[in-house]
Amino acid sequence: MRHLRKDEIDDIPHYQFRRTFEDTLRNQTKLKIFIKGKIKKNYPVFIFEEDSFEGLIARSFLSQGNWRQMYYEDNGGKIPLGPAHTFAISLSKVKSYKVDIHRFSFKKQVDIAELWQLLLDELSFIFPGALEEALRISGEGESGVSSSGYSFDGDRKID
Amino acid sequence: MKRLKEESKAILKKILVHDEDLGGSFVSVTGSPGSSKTSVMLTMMRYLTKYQPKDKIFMSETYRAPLQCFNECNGEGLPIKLWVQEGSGVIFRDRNKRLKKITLPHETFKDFKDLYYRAPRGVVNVVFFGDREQWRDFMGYLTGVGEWVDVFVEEFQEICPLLSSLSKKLKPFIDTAKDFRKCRMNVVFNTQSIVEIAWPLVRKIQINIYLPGAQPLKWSRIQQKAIDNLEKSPSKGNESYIEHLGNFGKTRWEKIWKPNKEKSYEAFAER
Repeated sequence: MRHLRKDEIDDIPHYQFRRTFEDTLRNQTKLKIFIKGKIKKNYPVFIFEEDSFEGLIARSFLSQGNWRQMYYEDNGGKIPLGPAHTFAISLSKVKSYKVDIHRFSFKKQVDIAELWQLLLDELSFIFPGALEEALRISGEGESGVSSSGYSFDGDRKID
Repeated sequence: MKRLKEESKAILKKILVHDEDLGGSFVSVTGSPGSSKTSVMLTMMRYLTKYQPKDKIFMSETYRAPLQCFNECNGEGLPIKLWVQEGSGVIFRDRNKRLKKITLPHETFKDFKDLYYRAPRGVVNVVFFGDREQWRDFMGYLTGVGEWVDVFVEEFQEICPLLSSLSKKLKPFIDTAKDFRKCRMNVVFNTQSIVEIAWPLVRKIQINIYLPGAQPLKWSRIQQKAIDNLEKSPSKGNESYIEHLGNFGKTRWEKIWKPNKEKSYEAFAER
């Protein structure tokens, strides 16, 4: 992914950073579909998908993936894989169908689909927190929710 | 979503219920054509004529377009009074009769002072100066009257167009605009897009009302997508976002104001 220059970052309108509840929810659904597709075919993230995948992670996690440590469990032992967000990004850099997991004397080769499955399981812990965060930072409701607004007709006195 | 309701109510209260400590407000209403910008203003005027009977309410209308002050809601219009400045050359024409010149009941006035002291309270005084730019000076005059005044301006970009941003003519009005709140004046204007207005004035706006199709200000907390999702209902009324000091709420404008087809009049400045 190409890093943005400072002047390019300054050009991004502020509202692009403000994610709403609906945005987050939609991106979470997209991410789940994406990961399920990868599990089914045991595929890594292709180069042309990298940027959109990272965007999808950022928009659906809303920084809530930084606090969740992920582990690979084998025979009762736990091998740390790093925070969920970092793990997802590093997983997108893997370009083979098999991945080596090693720590000290432990070494194992697994299908990438197995790691995708780990990430998918982790999403159920991250997504509720991200949705809560979305509600906290943004008050916009879903379209057509008539009860969310104050009805004003000019006849009743505002108390 | 209760917060959206409460915030909205609090902001509307700030505009329509007078508080000596808080003072007046400078309000913009933006939205695409047909998004009920005028209805929002007419609803506010209706409220003020009903609950603030001591206020003097002034309205600025556009020329060569149907007069909106004759619009009705459920067959009921606003209490209005037309004022034309002497020598301004303003006439009224009937759009149903191929722009035939007609005589509408109105009163004439000499200058701002004459207009202000003769304008009745609790009635919407629709004023025609012949030249819309005179509204800048009139609003300047109103800051000095020392009582609660409400001014409603249609198509504000005709009074303070973007191209006048650096004009010396606009400077006194920019200085005036910062005093609206302190001088107990409520100025509510509408425009299709805020970018059409002289930019020094945009920062002076206290409260923004975004109707469907509006473009939020760069520093607004409301994002474009949220405005695009506002409900547009010809029966229940359109929704809007209303923002003040970074707080925002959602309001539904229940009343549907429709043009009175029999009174399709327009004002025309002959000069």
